[in-house]
Amino acid sequence: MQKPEPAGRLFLRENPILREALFAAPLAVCADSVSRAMMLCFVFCIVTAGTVLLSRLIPQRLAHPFRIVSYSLTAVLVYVPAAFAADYLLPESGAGVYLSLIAAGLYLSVEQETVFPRGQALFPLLRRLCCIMGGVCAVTLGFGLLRELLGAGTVIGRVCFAAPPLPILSTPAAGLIMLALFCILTERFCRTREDE
Amino acid sequence: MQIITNVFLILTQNLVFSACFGIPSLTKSAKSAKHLALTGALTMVFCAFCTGLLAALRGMLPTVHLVWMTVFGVMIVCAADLAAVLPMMRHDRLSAYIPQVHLAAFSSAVLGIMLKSGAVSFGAGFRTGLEAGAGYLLCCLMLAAVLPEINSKKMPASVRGWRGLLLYAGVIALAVSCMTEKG
Repeated sequence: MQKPEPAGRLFLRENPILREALFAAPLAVCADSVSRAMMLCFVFCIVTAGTVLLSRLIPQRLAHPFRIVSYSLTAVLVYVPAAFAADYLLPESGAGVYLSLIAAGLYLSVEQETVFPRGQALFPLLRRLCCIMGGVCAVTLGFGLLRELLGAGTVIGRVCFAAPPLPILSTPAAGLIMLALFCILTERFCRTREDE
Repeated sequence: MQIITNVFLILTQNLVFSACFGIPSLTKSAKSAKHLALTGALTMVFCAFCTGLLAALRGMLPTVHLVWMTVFGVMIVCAADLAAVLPMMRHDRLSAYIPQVHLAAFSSAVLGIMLKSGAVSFGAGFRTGLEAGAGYLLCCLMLAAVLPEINSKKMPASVRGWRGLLLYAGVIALAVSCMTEKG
């Protein structure tokens, strides 16, 4: 019997944010507070789980470009109810275009077969899916929490600092730098662990 | 003077630096300067045509919710991707570039500018997409110029490659946002 992949590896090494900075735009621009980060996680989980499971119905004998297009169309169909639900839960978020980018990005179209190989049994696939979704949600929420705390001085709307310690963190550019530092520190941590 | 103003505008209202669009395509093309420049050029073409087509569709429809515009936008991107890739599959030399075409077509820069543009005719949409795509290409060329240094052995291993490129893009984005800051 094949040994299951370690959850820690899936959590960090297979994390699309830390592995290749996918979803950089929604993270850098949109995840500047915990509530907006939660909304990104909600849409990401629904769209990813729905698309990966429904994509198993797409025949593998289709030519590669047609498979990519089919994955992309499946993702956008799953995205429709998720986006309306997110809009209902947090109507004033202003995250519209960035939510669309989660569904229509490279991850669920071009990258899908690399991350979720076809022909994998259902249980290992679900385990992999849960670990990856957990990793993305942890990074996104951590990102939103840190930016809200340091950039606005609040946590979920509650005031923690009278004056925000680092207001620049609320800007997209600072979000991009923070994302790069996040990726560099994770890579450094993983390399140190592998060397040991 | 007009040319300098235009270049300044393209730099400050850039898709990457102001809206962080298209970054995954950049990081995935960070293997070589040639790949980066090719991705930039292809993205510019897709931005122009896809934005033009969605603008033409927007002009024919009544006001539509952003979610449905996303569905139409993705359909247009898929059609454009197939239209570019299928003829390339017949040529051995061109088929090596198919992954780059997929990276450019499904780049968040293309869908991002399609959805952000408010144009309602093919011509206006094409122009908006072309300007935004030119900004993306300029950004790719700027990053391609520093790529040999970022990929060199002098850089620490955890910063080398796309992580260093992302950090560099972030610093430029911060500088550009300071230039456009009011007051």
